[in-house]
Amino acid sequence: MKKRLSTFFVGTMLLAISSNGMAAQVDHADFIRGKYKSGPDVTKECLKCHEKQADDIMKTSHWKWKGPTKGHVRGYENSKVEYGKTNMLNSFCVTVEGGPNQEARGHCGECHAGYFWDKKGFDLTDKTKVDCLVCHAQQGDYGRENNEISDFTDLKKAAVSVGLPTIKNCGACHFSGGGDDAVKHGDLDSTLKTADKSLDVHMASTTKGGQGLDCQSCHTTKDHQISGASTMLATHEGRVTCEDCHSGKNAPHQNSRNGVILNSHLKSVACQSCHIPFFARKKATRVSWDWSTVGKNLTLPPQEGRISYDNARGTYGWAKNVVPTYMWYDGTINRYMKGDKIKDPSKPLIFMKPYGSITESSAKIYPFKYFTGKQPMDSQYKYLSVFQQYKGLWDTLNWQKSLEDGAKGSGLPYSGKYQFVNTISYIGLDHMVAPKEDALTCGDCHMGGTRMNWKALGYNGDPMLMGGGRDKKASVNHQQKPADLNFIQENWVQKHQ
Amino acid sequence: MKKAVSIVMVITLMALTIVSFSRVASAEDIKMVGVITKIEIAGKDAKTATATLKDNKSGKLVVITVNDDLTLDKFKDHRIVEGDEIRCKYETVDGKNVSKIFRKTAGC
Repeated sequence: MKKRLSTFFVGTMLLAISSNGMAAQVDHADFIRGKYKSGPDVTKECLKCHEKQADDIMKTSHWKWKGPTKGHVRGYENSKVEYGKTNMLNSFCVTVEGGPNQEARGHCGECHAGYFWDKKGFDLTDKTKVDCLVCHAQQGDYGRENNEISDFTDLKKAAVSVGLPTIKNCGACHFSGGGDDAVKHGDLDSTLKTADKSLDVHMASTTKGGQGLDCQSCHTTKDHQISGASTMLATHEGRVTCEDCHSGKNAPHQNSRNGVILNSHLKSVACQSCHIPFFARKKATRVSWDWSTVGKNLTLPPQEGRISYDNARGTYGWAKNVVPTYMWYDGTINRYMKGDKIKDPSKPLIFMKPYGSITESSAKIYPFKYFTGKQPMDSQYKYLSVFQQYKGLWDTLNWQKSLEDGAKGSGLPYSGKYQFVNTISYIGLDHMVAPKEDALTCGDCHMGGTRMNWKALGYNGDPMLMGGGRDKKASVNHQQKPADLNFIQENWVQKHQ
Repeated sequence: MKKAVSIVMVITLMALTIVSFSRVASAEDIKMVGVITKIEIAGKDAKTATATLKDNKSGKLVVITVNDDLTLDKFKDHRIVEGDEIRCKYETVDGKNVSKIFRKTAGC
């Protein structure tokens, strides 16, 4: 009888552990017994039991910083080349390839899930370079600084504390995209670590009225492949949608007084459009970056309490509690890729833009952060330049030298002549989901509401007043031709605001 | 007499030990990670500032005195602002927690 009870008890415990995904929360104190001088020392210990997990992560974009495009970027549907942070440009720090040996990686690589990708030639096959702790350590003040483990870190304590990633783990990198807290993503910043329900209904703890979800609750994972796509990048490992949870028995608006009216929007309006009424709600996000003012010693007042000019980096614009820009989006993007020609540098280059229009049934209206940049391009070869910022321009303020060194690392030739070009990016917004009582209401968009630029979206006007939903072809056709760079030369003043 | 001298010597030794240990304690570096809740700096030419950090572990507020030019510049031009998470190493001197390291945990 005793034996049966024990068996039952052990079985129940094992079932509870496996069903709750608690296996990852196993107390590692019995396994972590060594003295560790470096991150790779800890990884070697992890590999004794978790070699498969290392193999898995080495196939991911968190490790390779690139991956298959999977139809995300239009015109690259059949590309055999993998793309990602490692070989794409943006309007923030622009590139990781700057420097004869890609020394810029020494800076950007601090957010790579490995030790330490600081220049060309990092061994992507070396399992001991996998940084398990950056995603899994819960204690020990784990951190990396200047390609070293922070001297604040207690490596052993960090190693013993491993568990499923928390918002803090993911946020260590993803809240600081663009080089600092809240810079790149208008909907991801450090305030989410202590979010209350009004900031994000999903990430706020249950004690604060939220759902207490971690990132991987929505960004589901399989073999360390983490779902979720960004308009900044070409690759993804699966998509995340609101409907993954909010469908069937959990379909939205079931108890709403106006459920029928609200649901009539679902064909054309994404959940995010109404449920993310503002972004950068508690901390200002960067909305512009002008590299052309580097070295000009300007004196500019801070915006929203944050630095607006850095002599080595240029001029920044900031905004807080921002109304999004609304665009049609069918899940694919048009995006500038390294080496693409710029036809008319007097007009802004559209760096990335969601694809879609009122005439396409697969597209819905989504919210975006509107971001403007000004960055160097090659005057003769007519493409955006790769330059060495870290251990280059930021120290020397010498554009010529940093452009020459950028060309060496990237393999993209530099003619010797450069100019600056304005750029526009539309960056997706999926976080900072407000509670339903703070979601948009009818009057925000209709009957005089100013949120939507109806004409820019392809309507004749407010469809509540003018009729002409998506089933009727609108007079303004905003269809964007795939892989045609002509479409990206837009009117500078057309901000869809 | 001998006994009295011994007692005096022992007491002196104990006192010296206590004093020397307390000096070590006050000069010991303390590490903490916390979020800035308040920065107080008196103007552009200020040579000192205070930052109040909320310790991530204890939740207690710790007032740090910052004297180094680099960090002061970062306060002045708003590269370090309230809400930033900081790795700080400080020592206690004359009742003040004087910063020796004051770096943001994230960003570059």
